Order: sequence, then C-alpha cells, then structure tokens
Amino acid sequence: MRAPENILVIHNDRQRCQMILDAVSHLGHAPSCAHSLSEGLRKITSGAFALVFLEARLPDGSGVEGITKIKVNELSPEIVITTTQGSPDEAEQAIANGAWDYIAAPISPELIQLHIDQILDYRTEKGHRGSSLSLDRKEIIGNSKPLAASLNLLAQAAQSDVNVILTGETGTGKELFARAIHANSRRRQGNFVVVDCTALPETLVESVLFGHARGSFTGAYVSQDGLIKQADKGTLFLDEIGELPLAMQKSFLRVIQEHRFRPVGGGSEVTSDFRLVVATHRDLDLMVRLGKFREDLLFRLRSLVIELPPLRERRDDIKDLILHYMDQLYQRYRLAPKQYSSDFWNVTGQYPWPGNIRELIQALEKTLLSAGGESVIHSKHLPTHIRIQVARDRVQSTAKDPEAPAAQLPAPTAPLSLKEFHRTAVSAAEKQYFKDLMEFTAGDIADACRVSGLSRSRLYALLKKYLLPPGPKSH
Amino acid sequence: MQIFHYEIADSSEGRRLEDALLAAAPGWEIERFTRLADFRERMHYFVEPDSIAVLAAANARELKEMQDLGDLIQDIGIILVLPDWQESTLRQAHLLRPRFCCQKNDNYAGLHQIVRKMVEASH
Repeated sequence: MRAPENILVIHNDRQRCQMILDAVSHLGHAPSCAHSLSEGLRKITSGAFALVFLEARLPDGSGVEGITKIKVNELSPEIVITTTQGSPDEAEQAIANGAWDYIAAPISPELIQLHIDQILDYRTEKGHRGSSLSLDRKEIIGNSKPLAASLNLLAQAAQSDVNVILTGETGTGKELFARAIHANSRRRQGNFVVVDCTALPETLVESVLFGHARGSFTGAYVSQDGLIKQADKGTLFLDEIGELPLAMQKSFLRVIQEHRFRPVGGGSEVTSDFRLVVATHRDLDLMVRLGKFREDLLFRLRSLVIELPPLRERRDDIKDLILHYMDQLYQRYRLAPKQYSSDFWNVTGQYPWPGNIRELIQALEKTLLSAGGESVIHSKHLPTHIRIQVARDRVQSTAKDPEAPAAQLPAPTAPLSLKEFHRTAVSAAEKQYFKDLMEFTAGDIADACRVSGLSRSRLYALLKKYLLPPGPKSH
Repeated sequence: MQIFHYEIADSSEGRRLEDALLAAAPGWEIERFTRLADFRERMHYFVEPDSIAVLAAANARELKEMQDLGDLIQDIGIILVLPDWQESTLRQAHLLRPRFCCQKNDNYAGLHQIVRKMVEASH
C-alpha cells in the first residue's frame, strides 16, 4: 500500500475543486485546496506537496505561467494542469514550463487516479520521498505524527542542496534540525557554521560574515576569512535570520544568488560553495509586509520550509523526551537514575510547555535538584509554576464540563501583560527553587553554592530577594 | 545567566581578555578557570540558562581537548579565542558551534560587542 502524500488542488470553481479533492481522499491521500494562484503559492511554500492539480486560468493569474514559480528545484511538486477549455498552444506552454501533464474536461476520478499513481511511482523511483527511517537523527527524539512529518522533510532536505527555512516557536529545536540536515547531507565532512543573528551587533555583521582584509578598519591586524567562506563545502546556518539588519539583507541576497562576495576592504571577490539553512521564530511574511524583511530574499530562501511543531502538538513524545534528557542530566550531575511516579507523568503530560523543549529541559534540571536524594520523582518536585498552571487548567476544564458539578470560580480578571506574567512566573519558580535548595542542603551555604552553581554573594542576594533565611533551618 | 572564562594560565594576554570581558559585562561576576579540567568539573553542576563561556585555546591540541566537553556545554553560548585562523583550527572550532570566534592577538573589540549584546539580551 502506498504511503499517503500531500496533494494540493488549486481551482477557482468550488464544485470541480471538490470533485478532485474527493478523488484524492478516496485514494487515501491528504488533500488541500486553494481557490487562487496566490493562495496556492503560499500553501506550496509552507507545506510539502508531492503533486499539485493546477487550474490553467485563475482569477489572479495564469496557472500555466505559475508553473515556473512552483517548479523551482528538484524537490518541487509535480504539476498537472487542469482546464475546462483545452488549447493546444496552452498545452505546449504548460509542458514547456515543466508540467507533468495538461488535461482538459471532462476530468473523471479515474483520470485523477491515473495521474496520481503515475506521478507517485515516478517520485518513488527517483527517491524523492525522503526516508526518515535511515536518518542520523542526532538528538531529535520522538515518533509522533507531527514530528514524523517534519523528519520526512528533513530527509528530503538532506538529499539536496536547496535552501531551507526552519520555522517554529522558540525552543522547538530548530538548530538541532539544522545540524541533522548537515549531518545527513553530502556536505557532512564540511563545516557546520553557525551565525547567531541575535548575538551579532549591526556594526560587526559585515566583517563577521564576509571577512576582512588586513588594515580595513581599526583593529584589523590580519586578514580573516568570514563565516561564509568558512562554510565553503559545508553548511551555513543563519539562526534567527529575521534579526539580520535590513541593510545586510541586500548584500546577503547577492551572496545567495552568486555565492561570491567581497570581504570588507578586500580587493577581489571570493567564492564559497555553501549550503544555506536558516531558522526563525518570526513570521517573515508579516515582516515583509511591514518592510522589515526583503521579499526577494524571502523568495530565495524558501525553497523548502520545515515547520517544527510545538511540544503541545506532540504530546506523544513528551515521555520519550523526558527519559532522554533525564538520562543526560543523570550523567551530567553524576546521579543514579530515579523512578517516576504516575502523578509526575500526568502533570508533565498536561502542561502546555509554551517554551517547548528548552523549557522542558530547564524544568527537568530544576526537578532533579528539587528531588535531591529521593529515589522517586513526583510532580511536587516540578517547578511550582508548572504545577499551578496544570491545577488551574484542570479546574477550568472541570468548570467547562456541563456534567460536572458547578464550581465556585473567582470572577474572571483581565490577563496580565506577557512581560508581567513572565516576571511573576519566574519569581515564583525561583523562590520555590531556593526554598527547595536550602531545604536540600539543610541551609549549608557552601553546599548550596556547589549545588546551584552560584557564587556566595549572588546566593545571599537571591535569598534576600525572596525573603528566605540564609542559615540552617531551626525546627 | 552566568559568564565563564577559561584560559590556561595567568598572562598579560589573559588579563587583557579578562579586562575586555569585565568591560563588556560590568557588575557581573565572571567565573575564571585556568585548568580545562576545573572548567569541565564546574560544568557538572548547575548552570543558569543563557550562560556564556569564553574559551581561549592556547594551541590546536587544547582546542581538540575542548571537543571532549561535548554535551556539558551544549546549552551554553560559546565564544572561542583561537590560536590562529588556519583552516584546520577553524574546522575544530566549528565542531563546538561557537557564537563568535576571534584570535588571541585580537584587540577584542568584536568580542566585547558580542558579549555585551548577549548580556543585554539576557535581561
């Protein structure tokens, strides 16, 4: 049996569109639809489609001319042009532009099936369907459906040299995915060069990326290759590309197009054969509309978009992630492995993890410190703000349940600003942490410094801040 | 956030780097190590999120030894001070996924700006 594929139908006539969608669903594939060319192009850049049924004439443009915007590289979906009024010249243009076929009405479900089968057979033979089974996954843990979809795209990305954008909320593991793309690509022997756009001050970006010649500015005592050159035959990973200054975006666009550039103060151009992977948690389309990101650069970048699912959408993976990262923490802190109570699994499974895997790891670290010498980890060892959130959600869902007895809930209040919420949550968690720390170390300051990794003065300052006694507890 | 600084031994070069760090992160306590083994041991204890480690490798051998820190420093922003800018040195350096690299005879102006930005971002 064939694995389900994503198939897009772009048609302005809703009835005809639905007929094709039904045929696609009937074959067990995942259909999507768009009713205009622009909507279709947007969907193609944000999803992985094997095949697109594209109507020749759409309200906002010609489907036949749109083919070249879709067939941008070897991973692009195949295109079947559909039309109610066939024209030999149009058919010729469609095929010349790279369409798989041009089919005119009447279009039957059998004809749809025939094209789907032929195209998917062809793609399987060509190995276009990246297999995530043989991937070196690095530390990408989990087997949930949303993650598997991202891994399939990762496998496709690794087989080619196309530019990749990794999108997703903070803490979803974008750098991990970038490393896995590199490690599974033909460039794995080359450098994986990280450019952290959030850390680079605007005044440094140019010389860090392009390098500089000796004497090109104060302090340039020697010539230095920049990061782009260092990524020659390897992978250049631009983390948080949305932070790249607008002025640099133009220079960088040229580098992507031509793979040549001039170092700062340099006399001649240098080349670099790098593969580009970028990541962002921002909505780059919105940034384009706000004039903060170049549209031509975004167009160049998004040959393949991999959207990483937030942790709340892959709850099936939470247990595996916890076991994996706890093992790492046991090794790091040289602790014997502990057991986990059912209430611990309940709470970790219910909490929404807005900070995703990064938040999970930090919470586990605090949990482990809080559990101290105990052999079983319970939910009470988790950071307080997590337990509060889960308890609140539980009460709210009970209140929403019409079968449940009426709950006495306080009158709804206006939510805090995000900054205020963050400050309050962090304060509560830190206070609990220091309470647990002092309890665990029986008030021994030297021991508390060792466990927490804080200096004595900082520990005292934080204990004072949270009004906690600095000495041994008197009972 | 915490700031760590490793450099093999006290020297005028080391003090220059330390001065640059202190100027970039005024008021922050910088934990300084002169033995890689001590830095490794420290990494076995709690480190605050978004911490920075400025690691100065005296030579290629020491840079290679830093690879063994592996998972212990994976969540820390690494800034490397390299002995030279040779291809083999840079190859080793990128295995540590640094946020920034400079050479040991640098004036540390770039390092100063990077650290300052990372410190500001942590607030």
